[in-house]
Amino acid sequence: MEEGDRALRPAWRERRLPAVLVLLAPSLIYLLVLFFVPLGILAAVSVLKFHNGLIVRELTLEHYVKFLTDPFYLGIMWNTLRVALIVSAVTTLLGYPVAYVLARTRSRWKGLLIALVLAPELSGVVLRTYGWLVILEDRGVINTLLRSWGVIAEPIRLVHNYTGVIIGLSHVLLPFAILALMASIQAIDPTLEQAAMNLGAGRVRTFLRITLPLSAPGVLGAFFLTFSLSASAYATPAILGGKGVEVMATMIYTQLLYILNWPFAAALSVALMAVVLVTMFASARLVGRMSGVFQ
Amino acid sequence: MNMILVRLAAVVLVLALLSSAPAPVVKAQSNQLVVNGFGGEYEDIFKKTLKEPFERQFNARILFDPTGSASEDYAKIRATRGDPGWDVVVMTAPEAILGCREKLLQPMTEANIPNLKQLYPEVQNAVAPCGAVQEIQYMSLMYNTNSVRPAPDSWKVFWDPRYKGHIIIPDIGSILAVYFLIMASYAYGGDEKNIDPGFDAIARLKPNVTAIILSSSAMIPYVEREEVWLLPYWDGRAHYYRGRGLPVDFVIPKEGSIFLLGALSVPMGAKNKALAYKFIDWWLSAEVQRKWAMAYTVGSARGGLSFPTEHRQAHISSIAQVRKFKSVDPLFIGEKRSDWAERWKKVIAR
Repeated sequence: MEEGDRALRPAWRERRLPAVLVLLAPSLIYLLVLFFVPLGILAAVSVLKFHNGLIVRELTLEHYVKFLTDPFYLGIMWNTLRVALIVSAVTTLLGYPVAYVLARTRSRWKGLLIALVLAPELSGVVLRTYGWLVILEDRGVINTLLRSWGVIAEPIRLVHNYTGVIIGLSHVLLPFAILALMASIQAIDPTLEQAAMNLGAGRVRTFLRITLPLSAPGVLGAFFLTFSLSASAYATPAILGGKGVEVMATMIYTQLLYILNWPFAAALSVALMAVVLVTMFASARLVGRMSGVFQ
Repeated sequence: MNMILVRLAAVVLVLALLSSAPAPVVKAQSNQLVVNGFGGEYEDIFKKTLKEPFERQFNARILFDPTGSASEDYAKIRATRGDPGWDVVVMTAPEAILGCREKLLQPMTEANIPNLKQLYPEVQNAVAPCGAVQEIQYMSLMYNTNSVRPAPDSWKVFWDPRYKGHIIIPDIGSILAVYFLIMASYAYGGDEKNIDPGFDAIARLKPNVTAIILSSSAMIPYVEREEVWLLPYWDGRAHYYRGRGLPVDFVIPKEGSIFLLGALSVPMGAKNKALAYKFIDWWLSAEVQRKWAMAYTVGSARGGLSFPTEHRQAHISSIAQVRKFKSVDPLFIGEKRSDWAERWKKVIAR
């Protein structure tokens, strides 16, 4: 079998490669022009000098030096990663059972259920985030109810801090996690689970030994998707954060559109992208090794 | 079947995320003017007070783009190297000055716009030559009339422990925050050149603050719910919300305040500069200045306009009033803004 594989592979490549290139060309050109060229410009702007409110055409690495040596900016990066890690863990955990039900259900309402999962996405992130503000703030629904029941005397601070940002982002990103997980669970042949149970495995053991390992790519995908989306999220931290809450995206936004210090904003963007990429590669390798243990 | 559903769902998801609509592509016509201003009530007032009368009088067509704050507009001008697709842009003094320094805005002269010489020179010169002052606002102290008694007369009221938890301050990205910082400095023995007392005061104020908000319009829901009782706010907008029935009033505290010059500018790449100059000149004419100041409840940099007493007292309408305000050099603010923003963020994060 293995020998046959080796013999087949070169032929497969020879025949299909041009076709693959042709098929990839449109998206490659699209990415090159609309993604990599702007990224290059971003990197170029990040090494320009900023003096007395003006961008000066002089090369410097001072923005990177400032970012890397100032605990304040490193702290913002740490806040960003911490929020992203918590949010992606929460959404992946919460999303898994929902995705499992959606993937396995034979109900004729399946389409409706999927639509319900996605329905919040139709209202736009800003609107939903303001909805959370109404629910979470000091005089919001939760605090008012808890106080009228006598559970608490003083309102619990649920918003204008990282708690609020994590709640809001988890809600916004949950459908992404569910979709990624659902696609992967759906690809698992249910007869494998049935076979495990036929051989005497309980539901928990079947899940831990069969379903979970086989859906690992989906778990990984859901985690990375929500991680990178929350690391770069702007609207939710901006609205639910408020006092003293600063993540990379809000800092970049302020520098870019209000302070108009574009070189520093560009340097912060490059730094954020680099850190997110490195984190994702590192954890992908780690999880890859861990899932090897399963098999 | 299921994969189709998933894919469909993914498409819906992506579509839902693409929330920002692209700006309309407009073909230049000799009688067509693209003006960028602000959204909300501004757009309605602009339409009634300026757009419709101008279109009738000059047989022209104005396309109004309400997107962006003044500094967001400037970011767009810079990103397009002076060709954002607008003929006239409504911003404020800091952007008009920066636009001249970066050569992205068209210098204007009295030959193009004769009404420029009717404006108070000491006001107009502050934004010349790339801006024309179409209105003056100032940072007022807005307060809830049910909860803040007696009416405040000092910026120091923000530090009064009685109002802890009922205060909003703007975030440093906005010029309102820069002004608030400077006035905090004045209130506690400093000024804009000696800004340390201001930062010390902000550090002391932080525990009392409910929220720190970048956009001034996003502050209003807190005021409507009477959750927030004290905030710095532009006089024109404070007047508007008082008129709409909110239990608020606004004052100039005894330490004084700082005014903000509105500025009309023409981007370097404007397609219809001739009509742009005509529109700006018309906006600066006595009749339109008076109408605009009344409709948008703001002050004017043009002398000799007659206003009702109430308007004259609440908004800047004479050079004597202008001189009562702190004269803070907008160029100095422009140079300091980035450093102050960093220091502010550090104080708030502490």
